Amino acid sequence: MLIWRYFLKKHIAFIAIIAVMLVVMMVLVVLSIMSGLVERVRLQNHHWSGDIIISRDSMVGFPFYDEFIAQLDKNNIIEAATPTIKTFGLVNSRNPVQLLGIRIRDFCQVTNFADTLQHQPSGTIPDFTVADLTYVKDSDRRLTDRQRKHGCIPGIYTLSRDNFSRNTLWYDGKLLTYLPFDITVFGINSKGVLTGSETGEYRKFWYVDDSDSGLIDVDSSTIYVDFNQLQKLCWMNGTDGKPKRAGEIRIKLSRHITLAQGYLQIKKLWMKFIDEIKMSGQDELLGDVKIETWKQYRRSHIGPMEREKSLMIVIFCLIGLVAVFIVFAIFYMIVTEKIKDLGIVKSVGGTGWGVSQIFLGYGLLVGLAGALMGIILGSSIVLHSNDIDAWLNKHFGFQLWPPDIYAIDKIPDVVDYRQAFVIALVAILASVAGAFLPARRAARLGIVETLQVD
Amino acid sequence: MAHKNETILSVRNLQKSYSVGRTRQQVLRGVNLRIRRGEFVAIMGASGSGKSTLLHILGLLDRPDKGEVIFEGHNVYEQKQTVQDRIRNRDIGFVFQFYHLLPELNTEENVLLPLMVESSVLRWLRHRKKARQQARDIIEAVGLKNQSRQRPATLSGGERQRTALARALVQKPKLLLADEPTGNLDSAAGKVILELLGQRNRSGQTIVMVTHDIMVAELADRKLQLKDGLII
Repeated sequence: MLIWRYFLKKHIAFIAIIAVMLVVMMVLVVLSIMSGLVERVRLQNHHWSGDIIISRDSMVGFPFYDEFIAQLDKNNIIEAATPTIKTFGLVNSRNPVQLLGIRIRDFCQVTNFADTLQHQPSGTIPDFTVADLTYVKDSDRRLTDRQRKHGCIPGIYTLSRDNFSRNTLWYDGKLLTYLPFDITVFGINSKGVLTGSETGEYRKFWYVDDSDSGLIDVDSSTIYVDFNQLQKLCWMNGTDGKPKRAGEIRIKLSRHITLAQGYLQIKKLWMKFIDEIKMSGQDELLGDVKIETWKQYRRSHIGPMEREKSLMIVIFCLIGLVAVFIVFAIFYMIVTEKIKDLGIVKSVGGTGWGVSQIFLGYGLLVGLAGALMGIILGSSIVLHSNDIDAWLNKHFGFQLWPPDIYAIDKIPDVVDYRQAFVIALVAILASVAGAFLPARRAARLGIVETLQVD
Repeated sequence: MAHKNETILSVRNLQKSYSVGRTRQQVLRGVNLRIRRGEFVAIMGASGSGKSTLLHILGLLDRPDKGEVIFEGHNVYEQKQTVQDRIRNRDIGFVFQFYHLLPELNTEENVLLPLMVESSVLRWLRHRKKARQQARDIIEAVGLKNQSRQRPATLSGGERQRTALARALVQKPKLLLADEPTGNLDSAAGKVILELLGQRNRSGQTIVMVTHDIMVAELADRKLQLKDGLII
């Protein structure tokens, strides 16, 4: 009863509740969004990369990729594997792009590439063939069968650089117009020397679809083309008498294998494979091939986000300490103000522990009320974070989470209620901790001195 | 079984001093005292003679520097703190000159206070009906039935003191201590308090009252004078 009376009567306690509420709300919002960001970034990077990536830093690439993939198949540790070629070029003679040559069907098995495509009919296997137009704005334009095989799939934000958007190309599920991508790359031989035409190797590719992987660095700079076509353009297809080369092998592990197990097994297999190749004397490009998990492969994109999350947690723990101090200060003031009341309670037989329980109970109620309100408010903010961001952008031109900085297109808006429970629990304990010293002081007060206070 | 005229409280060589700046002021210099069960004793003395200090020590609100306080055969200041708290809660009732009521609680709740602090939460929940009835009985006995829902701020001085008296009596204590119970009241209100004290004493309540007023002290069976820290 005393706790309730103090709780409801002392307006200053509401300041303590508000302090707890604000800290809980802030921590929940920041942790939810940062955790969601980190998790989404991790997931999207994982889905785009595959599980294990074998690669070489040099653009020269490495040979015998299909042979190694056959070895992986034999050992039953993978679900799928595919080679890729990564190189740089110019599109439409002005914009630099990264070109990724893929075997599109295999690539879709290793990664979630098919899910990133916007216009491929669901259930179909995507390919690079340009659709035969049934609705054409410019009716005199038609591609030959050969041209239609040179399809490309740009990242969604590379499309917007050329003043095209998805909407201008499609109507009612049909491609409106042919969109050319004039791509120039440079051939490089197995010795790492530029080869082929002095002005680069040129080909016109045609828009097939676009890819929205959710990874800003990929979607703003990558154009996907057919592996064989790019291999030919880059002079990596063995025309120099040397084995054909690829830039990477991307691997999806079997479901029964963990990432760590798969990594070790593949590494072991690779070492064994190199030893066999060494015997044939063709191992010159295999020495510095590295094998990485998707986390290692994409660490430059995941790491900063994880570090930022850790930093946020530290910062908000410090802010939490401030809230504890506010609760402490308020309760200390209340004990001082209520010193006579405490003397009265003790004069009728209240124990020191009983008196301190009044304040610990008070601290608990402040913590409970503040935590509950903070969780409700924080959850509402998280669940409506994208609406809030849109409103701020519309009225103030201000974006909370610019996608080009945070490499994400939408603010995570999911509340982890287990995390919320932990935050609430810590807030309640912190509130009780803030009340602890004042409660101890109250317990140790001498009765006569307290009764003589005016 | 308690017998009337049996000693309920005895005090031996009680000494108490306080710091005043850099010096120590001796307030009680070796008080000896014996109170019998059912007695009404008035302790008188000039202002600053140590009357309230003596009463606070008897009521376990303050510790002596030296000496013994034997209550019902036990030296209370040698007991554990929890035992002292229990004695203060159940066996001793204290009425202060300035009432000392909790402003946020109403009359009934103030009277219930000793019963509330005695119990754990669960025990309180089990026995609160009985406790409330106990409180209502004593509130009615002191004539405050119609004021039981009022807070102290809305009560007169006399009503507040009667509330304080009810609180002191709710546990049916063995010893009632009253520190200038009429000191802050007008004569009419004071008379009511004294009548209540007299009634209680006639029913067997042991009372030790501190007063500087000779007229008030006339109510008592025995009057003691405190001078220069000693009972003379």
